Amino acid sequence: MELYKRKNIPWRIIDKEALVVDPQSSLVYPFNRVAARIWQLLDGTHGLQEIAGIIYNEFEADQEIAAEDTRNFISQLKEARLIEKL
Amino acid sequence: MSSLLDAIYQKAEDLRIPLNVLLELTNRCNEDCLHCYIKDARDINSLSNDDKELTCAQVTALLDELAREGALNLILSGGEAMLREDFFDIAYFARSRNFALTIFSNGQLIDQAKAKRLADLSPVCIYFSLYGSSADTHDRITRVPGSFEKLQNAIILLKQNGLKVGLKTILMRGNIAELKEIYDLGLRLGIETHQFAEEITSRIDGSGASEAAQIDEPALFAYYRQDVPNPPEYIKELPQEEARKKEICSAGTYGVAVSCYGDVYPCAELRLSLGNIKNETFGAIWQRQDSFLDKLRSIKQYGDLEDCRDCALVNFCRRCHGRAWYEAGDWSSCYENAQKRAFLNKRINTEIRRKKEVNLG
Ligand code: SF4
Repeated sequence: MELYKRKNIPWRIIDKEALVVDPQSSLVYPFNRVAARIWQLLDGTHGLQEIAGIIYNEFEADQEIAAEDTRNFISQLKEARLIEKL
Repeated sequence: MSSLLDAIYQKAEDLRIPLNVLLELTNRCNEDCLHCYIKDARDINSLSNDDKELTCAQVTALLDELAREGALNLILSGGEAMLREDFFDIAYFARSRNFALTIFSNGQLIDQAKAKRLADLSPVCIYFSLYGSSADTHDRITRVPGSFEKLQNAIILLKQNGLKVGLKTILMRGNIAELKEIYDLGLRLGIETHQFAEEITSRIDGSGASEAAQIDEPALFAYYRQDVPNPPEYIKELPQEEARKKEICSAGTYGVAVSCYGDVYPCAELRLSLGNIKNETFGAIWQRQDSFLDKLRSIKQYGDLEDCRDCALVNFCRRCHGRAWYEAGDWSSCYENAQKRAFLNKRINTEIRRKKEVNLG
């Protein structure tokens, strides 16, 4: 299931970290490097497994931890209604 | 602020990333407010090329570059920004570059169709200035009959379209008697936020016309002694060596203003041009070594300014580099209105403390 950022969510990468704004709540979310990379990958062309694989490769993380962190972060994004499924 | 948010802002400052941008799209306006700092009454057809407003292509090229430089929060301002026929082209372009959009307007041109288009932009907030609780007061300050009614209608339309609306009210001679009613009107209209300000930005043409509407200190003191909306909070008085560490305005660090003619300023009040985007790229202007900008960026706290370091009013001062430049001719020096206001804040603080003690006693 491909995931993508909700339409009209303002965001910017700041030296590999990110600021993401929810215009509905006016909340500003700061994302660390891993979270920012996951956020970039939420472009509708990647599924959860694929994103976890990229995080595992790019950050040399433990495979299981990378998968769990990705899952957790994406479910937080869903809860905050910052992403949608295709 | 969370520590990660703090860290990202610090990084933006270190890397000179202009996170917050105020872009004045035009100085033209369909109101004629008594206190306006920017209104340009010149006939645009008579202006030379250098004096002409940025074209849509120049604005979108700038936005493209700002997005690449890391700018996130964008305020589209004026004059009345919607007087530009290409306002929505510019705003949609900004939307496509993922800016967090805020729009300053006077609401006079907003109808149902425009309200829908504004909703499509998903702005963070649309701010209007409200000067009175009745047409009588508001229209007297805008000097446009019917402007109060149009503004109310605009707010109602935006609320119907699910948009967030903020109001700004400047305390002036002409409206201080009805601020409570103005605040209540905002609540009735369902707005999200209402800011009250007491200082009027100096007119950029140097005429002093805007300050004529400003309230003097005795009237402000009398006002704050009453039960007011958004009352001032008690300021804890710190010893001098602590007080001088108070953070000062961050103009020129992660905030920037660009005029409708392309001049780049450290902020909308400190109108010392750093360069013009008609002649060079924004990045070239913002990133180059410039003694003024370097000094401005090095000032982080009151103690960094010679005049302020040992000033007994530092706990109560809310100085503005722009006003200092305008009033005293030096952005880093003290100026009369800062002193007067700081002294007034001190008196108000004493009053708040006295009230607290009475309540406790
Ligand atoms: S009153 Fe003047 S010297 Fe004192 S802190 Fe304010 S600006 Fe600085």
